[in-house]
Amino acid sequence: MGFTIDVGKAGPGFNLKGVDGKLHSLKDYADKKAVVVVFTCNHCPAAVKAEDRLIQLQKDYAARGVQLVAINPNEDKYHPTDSFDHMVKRAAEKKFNFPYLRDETQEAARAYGAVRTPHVFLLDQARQVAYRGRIDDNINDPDDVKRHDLREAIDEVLQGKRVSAPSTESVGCSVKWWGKDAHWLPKD
Amino acid sequence: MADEEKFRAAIERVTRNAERCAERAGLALQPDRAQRDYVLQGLARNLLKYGRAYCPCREVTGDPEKDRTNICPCRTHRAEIEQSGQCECGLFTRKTGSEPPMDADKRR
Repeated sequence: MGFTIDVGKAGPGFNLKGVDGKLHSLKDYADKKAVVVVFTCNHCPAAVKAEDRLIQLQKDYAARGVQLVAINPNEDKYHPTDSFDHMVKRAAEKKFNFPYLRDETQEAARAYGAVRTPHVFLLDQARQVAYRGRIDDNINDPDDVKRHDLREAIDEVLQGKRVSAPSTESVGCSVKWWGKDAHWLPKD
Repeated sequence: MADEEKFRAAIERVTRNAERCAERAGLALQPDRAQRDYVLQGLARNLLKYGRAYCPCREVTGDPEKDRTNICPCRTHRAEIEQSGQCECGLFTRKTGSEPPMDADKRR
């Protein structure tokens, strides 16, 4: 079994504090046709570049029953700009239209096997992992994207189809784990 | 020099440096092109912004003495590669013998 949760497995639940001060759990979105769980952060250039895409994605798909949930799992001792206070500021500055949650114990990140930020997990209506990996094929230049991997996967899930490309590699900075060497990455 | 030209020149410079470092150290560059390009572009941006190719996956404090350890290849890259097969940002990896040559990749 690899580090990252396999496609087809049940998406692990979570109950995490959001920047709105409330607790958010996966069960809160039981009425949604799909949930997009994104492990992201405040400091990584790839995560920052992804923000506008995520905001647009939530705008485009909300009416179709899709909910995006962002989770920041990074330790904030060596990466202080990933602290909860900074998350609150960031969410307000960028006007995030989705919950932004703090995974302080990194339990959710471990359960999903998040490797880099951003790392997305699309859960279908049965809350099984239908797609995992990147948002699209060009994190650096949104105007030069050839494959909108996550959007295509969402479209297929909403049509009741199996995702044709269910797994891609996430691109970005490694998740910063507590207690590990600051630069730890899973071997696989 | 126009901004785009400067950026391209910076990418070429950090790429050449990365290739040289990898060859000297018996390492490979990240075979995942998307991750490799992400890091190289981040290095190029930092080179243009700070005058140093700081690792794009680490925070730049603004204190040159503190940040010096994060100039690519960063001080901890060897230990990271030994521990998990690649460095923090994923630019340098252990050699497996099946990496495509960088030139062939550029021709794609």
